[in-house]
Amino acid sequence: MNQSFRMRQEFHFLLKSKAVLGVLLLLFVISGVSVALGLNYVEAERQQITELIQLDTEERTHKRSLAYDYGGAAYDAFHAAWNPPTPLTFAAIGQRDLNPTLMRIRALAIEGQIYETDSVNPELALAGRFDFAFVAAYLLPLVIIFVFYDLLASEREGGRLNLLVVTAERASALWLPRILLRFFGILISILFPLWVGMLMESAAVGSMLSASFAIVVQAVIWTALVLAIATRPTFRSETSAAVSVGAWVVLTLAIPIAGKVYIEGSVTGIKGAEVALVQREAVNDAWDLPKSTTMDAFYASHPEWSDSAPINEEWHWKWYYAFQQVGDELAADLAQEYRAAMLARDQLTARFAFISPAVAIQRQFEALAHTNLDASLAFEDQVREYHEHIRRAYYPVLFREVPFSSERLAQIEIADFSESAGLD
Amino acid sequence: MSNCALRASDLEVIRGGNAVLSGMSFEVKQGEVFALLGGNGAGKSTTLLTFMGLLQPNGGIAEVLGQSAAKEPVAVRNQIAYLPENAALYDHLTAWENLTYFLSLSQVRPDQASLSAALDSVSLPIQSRGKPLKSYSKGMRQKVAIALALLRETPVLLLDEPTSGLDPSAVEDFHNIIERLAKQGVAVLMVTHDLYGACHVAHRVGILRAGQLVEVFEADEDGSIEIATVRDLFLQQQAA
Repeated sequence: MNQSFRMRQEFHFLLKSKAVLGVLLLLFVISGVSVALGLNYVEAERQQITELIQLDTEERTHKRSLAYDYGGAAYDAFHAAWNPPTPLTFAAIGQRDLNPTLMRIRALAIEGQIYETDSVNPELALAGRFDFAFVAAYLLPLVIIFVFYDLLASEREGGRLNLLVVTAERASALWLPRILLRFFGILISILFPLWVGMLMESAAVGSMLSASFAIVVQAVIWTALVLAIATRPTFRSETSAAVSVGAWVVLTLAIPIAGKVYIEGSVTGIKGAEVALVQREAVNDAWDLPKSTTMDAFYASHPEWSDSAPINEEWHWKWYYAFQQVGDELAADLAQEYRAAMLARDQLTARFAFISPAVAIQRQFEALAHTNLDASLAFEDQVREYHEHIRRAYYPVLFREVPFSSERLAQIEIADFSESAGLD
Repeated sequence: MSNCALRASDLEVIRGGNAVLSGMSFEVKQGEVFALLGGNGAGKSTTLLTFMGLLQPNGGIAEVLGQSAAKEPVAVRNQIAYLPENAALYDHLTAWENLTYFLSLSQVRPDQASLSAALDSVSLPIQSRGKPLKSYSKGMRQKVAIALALLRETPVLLLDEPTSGLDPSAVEDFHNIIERLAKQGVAVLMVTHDLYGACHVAHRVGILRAGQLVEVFEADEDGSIEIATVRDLFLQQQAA
């Protein structure tokens, strides 16, 4: 007697179980909707990036044609910087809609430009954006609960349990095919839309395997937990359901909320807006300071321009750009502090992932999709490097006080952000 | 070699602090039908559950074909076909589907002819066989469960109120089936309230009261048991 007959019978049984089939179909639809929404989001981002690059180029060309000095030309020249979506971004949008992923950078102080929009701190992600990671973290466990909570109790309450046990050649012949088929039904329902999305995004095979593995691990954890509850011989189906849902509330809601409160209490840090404020105040204060104070501070960090001619005029662009840079330098420690606080919170969050599968899988997907804090900070670093590239492109004409000409302005070459950041 | 199929020896089962079976002993030979009669709570179903290894005895032993039900429940269950009191099968499946599904659990792959023969033998109307069991009467469900027990083709048959819900004609058919199986060597242990049915089909009838076997009646030479005697003792025990 081969096992395939038994599996076929169980498959036929599953096809006749309308409630289970219904919830699997629902999971498939929800997963599909989350993937479709994610793909739309990513497509809109890509379109936005393309449009921004094109409009930025047009605007810069136009502004340059109107320029009559280098300082003014630098002031008016915005350069697009972007954090392009990866092939898995659609599945885990993560902090992309909260942290800046698309910016327009110019040669002025950078900290204010980065933190104009304050980003949220990377505390535990609670129920937020409806993306695939949300479905995997919050809804998948509920489907598993629904499919397995009354595995044993429904048979006992239906009066079939003894007959089933006595008829089965052994317990595994009874329960294993039923559990396995339902388990794989759940996996296919949630993973198939993800695979389609990843194929549409031309994701690497390694990413597909890693993402699928993360889902399998999440499903195994929850199935094991629900089965441990559902196979308690004294539990009625409603008891099993109540305990399982209670576990879901604790693991996916209570622990992340408690974690958020704990992390906020343990790592009290500054906000991004405070960095921008310090930088802005430094820039504003500079207007009232003696120019030599600003220039000395600037030359201390940029000695290559220290032989620049003294400023005798009331206004000079090189003084203006110097105090922009000095403003950044004054806010640098604060920016580092802010960054350290975010990393500390992220590390604490990682610890909570050990006791909350929801936190774990969201972090896993955000890491795979490069939509996590590390990716966000890496983008900030790229923007800072790009900003340095921009301002240093203008410094020679500003600090050597090269007479203005359109031809010379045209010779100031500023790389595209994709080149600076090493993007494809 | 002994032809004892079922053996209860000084069997004791305590549930919820109460002794449900206390010191019960009997044997059922291959080809023998043994009926246990008793009122509610006498320990009839507990006896069956113990033989199936679904309840652990607190004392004594329950053996099926020489194997201890407590120590080797899986091996024992493979020798047993069981017919529960309220034949609870899957309502959303047809008779065919129920039989095929349950038989797949015991790694039996029946052909259509044997399924039909089993359903014919319990007189389940042909036009009903392809309909879900939710449209069946209690008696029709019972017939499907009996067919399942027959299809298992095991050497031991445990029956819990087997004729409950059956019409008189179906009861007669059922008794004929049991007699036929017994002739083929199947050992049948039947627990029932049905005194008349028990006396009609069984080779021996035991009266069970408060977990103890108080009397066993054997069929005489022409194979019948005096109903009046059994009835009187049964009612006496019920009243006591």
